[in-house]
Amino acid sequence: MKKLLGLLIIPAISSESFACSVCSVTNEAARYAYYATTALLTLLPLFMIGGVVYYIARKDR
Amino acid sequence: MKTLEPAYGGHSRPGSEPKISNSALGMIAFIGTELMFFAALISAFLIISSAAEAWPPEGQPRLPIYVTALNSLVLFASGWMMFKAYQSFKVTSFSEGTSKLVKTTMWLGIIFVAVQGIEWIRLLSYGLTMTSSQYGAFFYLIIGTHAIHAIGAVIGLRRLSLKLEKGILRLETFQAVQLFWFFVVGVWPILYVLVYLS
Repeated sequence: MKKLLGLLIIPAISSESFACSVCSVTNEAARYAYYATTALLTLLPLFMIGGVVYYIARKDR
Repeated sequence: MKTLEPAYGGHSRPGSEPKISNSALGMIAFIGTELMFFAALISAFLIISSAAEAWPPEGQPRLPIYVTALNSLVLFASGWMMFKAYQSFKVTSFSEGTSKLVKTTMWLGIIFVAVQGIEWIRLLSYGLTMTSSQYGAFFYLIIGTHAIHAIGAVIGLRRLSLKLEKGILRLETFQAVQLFWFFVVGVWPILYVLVYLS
């Protein structure tokens, strides 16, 4: 029970995770690069699939 | 026993032809995975380079910007030749002109890879290696990955050229190889600006 309580408390009180190399980065440029590349990796597959679907739909008209 | 007869007398239903050939669609799917691979490399490069105190790091050789810029023009020219070759194949099929254009594309690709190789040998002699710094590691990883793709595409172009000479080349195959070559040409300016000009 104490272990379970500990597991629940630790994430709540820790301000940052040092396992993540970016979370400990104080450089603003690196933080911006992290956000920008996250957006890139998230949106790129959507744009690619969307592009192919749009191309096929346009040819179907 | 009644057999099922195909609709429209065995012919494909009007308007049911694929909007995009299987070869081209397969190549697009493959290019999609490759784009994600390059995006992951670029992401890692951007985060590491912006977190570094100095980029390029002190004491590391500088990359050959001008030679590579000229070499980039060779690659762009090959992309244009590929476009012209495809247009020629659509109109004249197995003509001498199409064959020459495909061969020119291939040789321009070979020149691009060869010049890159020569520059790599020079950089290695100046002390830029995979283990000399993160700068060197990223340079050889990203640009090397592109070089492998360029070599693969040149092999594809060689096969295309042989099929063209034998008169057995299909338009769909040409489309697929063309798409891959355009990918190799299209991704290069992004890599050049990020790796060479940063």
